[in-house]
Amino acid sequence: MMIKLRFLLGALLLAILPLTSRAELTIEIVGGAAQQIPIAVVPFAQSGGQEDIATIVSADLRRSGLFRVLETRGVAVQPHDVSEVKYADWANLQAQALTIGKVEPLPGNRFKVSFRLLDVLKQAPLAGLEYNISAGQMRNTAHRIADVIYEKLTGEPGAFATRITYVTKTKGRYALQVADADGYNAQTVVSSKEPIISPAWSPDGTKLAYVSFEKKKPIVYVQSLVSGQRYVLANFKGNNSAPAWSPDGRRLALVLTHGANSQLYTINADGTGLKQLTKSRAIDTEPVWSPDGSSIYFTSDRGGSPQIYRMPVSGGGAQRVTFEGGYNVSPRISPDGKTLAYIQRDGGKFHVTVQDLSSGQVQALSETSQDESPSFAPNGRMLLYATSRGGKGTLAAVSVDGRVKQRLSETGGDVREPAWGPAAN
Amino acid sequence: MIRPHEKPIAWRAGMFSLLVHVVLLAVMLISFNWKTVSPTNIAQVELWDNLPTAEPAKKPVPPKPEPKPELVPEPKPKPLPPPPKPEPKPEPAPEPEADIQLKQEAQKRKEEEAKRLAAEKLKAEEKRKLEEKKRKEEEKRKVEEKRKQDQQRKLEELQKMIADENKAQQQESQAAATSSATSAASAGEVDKYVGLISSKIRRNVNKQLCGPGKPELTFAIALMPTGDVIGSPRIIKSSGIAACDQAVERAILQAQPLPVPDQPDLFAQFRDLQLRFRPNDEN
Amino acid sequence: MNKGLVVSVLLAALLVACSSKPLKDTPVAVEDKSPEMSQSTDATTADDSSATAGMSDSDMSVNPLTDPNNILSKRSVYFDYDSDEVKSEFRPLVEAHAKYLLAHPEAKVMLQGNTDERGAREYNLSLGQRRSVSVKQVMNLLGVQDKQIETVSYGEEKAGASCRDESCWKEDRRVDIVYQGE
Repeated sequence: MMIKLRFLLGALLLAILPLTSRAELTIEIVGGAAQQIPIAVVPFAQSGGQEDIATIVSADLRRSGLFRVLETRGVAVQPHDVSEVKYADWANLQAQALTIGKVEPLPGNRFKVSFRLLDVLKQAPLAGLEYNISAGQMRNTAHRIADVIYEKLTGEPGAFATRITYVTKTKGRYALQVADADGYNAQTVVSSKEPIISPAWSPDGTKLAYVSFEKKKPIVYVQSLVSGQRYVLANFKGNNSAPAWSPDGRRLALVLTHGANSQLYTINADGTGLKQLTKSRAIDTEPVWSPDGSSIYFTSDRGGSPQIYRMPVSGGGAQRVTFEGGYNVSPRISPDGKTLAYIQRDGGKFHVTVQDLSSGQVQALSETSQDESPSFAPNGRMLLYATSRGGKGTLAAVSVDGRVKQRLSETGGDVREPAWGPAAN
Repeated sequence: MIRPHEKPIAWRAGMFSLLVHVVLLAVMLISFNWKTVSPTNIAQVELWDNLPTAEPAKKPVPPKPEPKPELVPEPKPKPLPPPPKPEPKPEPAPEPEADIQLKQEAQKRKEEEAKRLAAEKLKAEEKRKLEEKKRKEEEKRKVEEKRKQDQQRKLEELQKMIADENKAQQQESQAAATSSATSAASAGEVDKYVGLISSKIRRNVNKQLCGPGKPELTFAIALMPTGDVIGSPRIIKSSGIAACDQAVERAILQAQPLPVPDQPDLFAQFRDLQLRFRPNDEN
Repeated sequence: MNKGLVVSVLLAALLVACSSKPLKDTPVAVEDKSPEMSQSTDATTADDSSATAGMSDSDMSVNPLTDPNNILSKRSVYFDYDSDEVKSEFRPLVEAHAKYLLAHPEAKVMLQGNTDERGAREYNLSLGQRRSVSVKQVMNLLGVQDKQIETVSYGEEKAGASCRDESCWKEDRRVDIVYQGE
């Protein structure tokens, strides 16, 4: 027993020794000055005549506003394999990360695309993937690579391999188009002499619902992007507009007037089962579903001015959600359900505005003043919207925290009514 | 739950637990005592003065072989216990004279022999007892000696420790006293390098990756005199956001080589650093 | 709901009050315009019939709906900003079309509401709708049934592209009366 005690004593003595030693020097570092992650994207080893992957990846990362893509031409050794990488070269460039890769031909006009993302400071690999693709998938693969890089370094999923839709008006003719998120590969879905408005993506990304005036009144159509076939979803007496898909893709909310004021309804995706949601004497319009499918947010002027309200899908009383200003319209919900985006009129100017649904805090995001139809990216980080510049309609994007702003240039006519497609599968 | 047959053990366990706590407390108190500077300073000064006189005491420390006459009192021959009286001879029954004479002679001889033996025995015993006593006293002396030596050694160790501390403190206070300007200057140097390190790292911190809240995170790094980080920064407190932790770690690594002072005694303070970050705060 | 009810009752009362005035005036107006009114076939009112007989021969070749001399060729009712009230200056126009519809039960009309381009498209679609409904209600009060009227809206879709101020915005805030078959 005594021996044990001695051990204990010894252990205790040892334990208290650090207490008697000097404490480490602590340095406080408050704030930060860096805005972007410096990254080097080395041109992939690929033969000419293909879409250049490094160029597409660099453009995507640059456009996100979170990366500073460094010039790599000055570096003597342009590596394509990890074994060829001399980290000192890239550390000298002040790069924190490095992307290398190559494209190798496979039989049947196919290609193997492989890439590595490396941590220059720790001199270790961060990610690496290989793809077996056809020639036509080169651009999409580059976008996927950019998504992987983005997610590894920022912690958020990327949205580079997604599509957007919008309506163009050129010389009196309207066209509903679908393009890659970077504006490339635009294709016309439907065109008409009469206006097209309010396109809406089905959650699986295979269909678009939209409103067309080709029959001299607003009618809702649903068109398959795969087959090109379309059908009339709603052509009731009066207006049919503002289609919004439920998160499970089985129903849509929409606005009908039936010869009176605009009211909200739901309908099955095949056009059956019409149900009335609101019964007010006011204008109720612009329905959107919450991501969990239980609530509908909408615009209503039942309180005397257009504001945003929320009601249960199963029916029931509506609660007002916006309280600042006298004109808040076009509600949109972020994919995580936490943020409400809308258009607020402030002194004659219309701004994209976001509101935190739990705290109620409101922040105007855009510096442009004729904003319309905001649309969340599927990763919830950016808002795409329509605005006007030099008298012409253009598209713009702004990050949800307001720090990154983009302007999408457009040649030709007017562009409006954008909608961001769902995440790539 | 304590089962009946465990009760005595439980008691013992409880007592030992208490004992350990008491010991811990005592140890803590002792350690505290060593930390309080001013009182011991005063005490130490006195000891410092005494130490030179204590020096000669060191000399007799190496254990000497038994100085019998000095230390051990002469064992006085104790009054021996009365020798065992020879057993009363059994008076033989009246026997014939001749036998009696022979017997008397034999008896005499026997008696003498017995006496001799007894005397020898006595002597041996005395000797033995004396030796034992000697041994015992020797042992006692040895133990006593050892204890004294241990005590002495401990005392000297303690004195040495105090002396060292005192020396160091004296050096410090001397250094401080003789050149308070230089110590203030060195404190200023430390501050200067703290500021340099902080601003160099801060330049690389990308707070956009740290979310909307007010995260806090802490890293520990070890530095070489060149200003390079040894190994990887070690995260002590995470911000809760992986991308934020990684961004701050990159900021530290990209700031290499960190500006550190050249003088070894100043650099010593920068060898191990804790870096505390609040990226979304304004200052 | 109660407030709404009271307001709508008051509005209705107002409309009744308003319409009574023109009713008083109409005999005068009708008499003034009778040469034009009689172009419509089978005029049912006594006032009209007296005029019809005299004018029917010369009117057969011109469609009243497109005759520039006929009020029926005027198809647009204009509105003030943020308003869906049919102003008094346009009441005669609306009534003329109402009368036409009553005289021609097989005729169907589409009332297309429009707004200027300021604000959100779908909300403007609804505002335009309010205006067309407003015109319809004036017609209802004159006896026209809903089966002859469809109210729709174009919202801001027909608004002038280069319009940036009130001088042209006011042209955008209107209801267009379009007959089926046109």
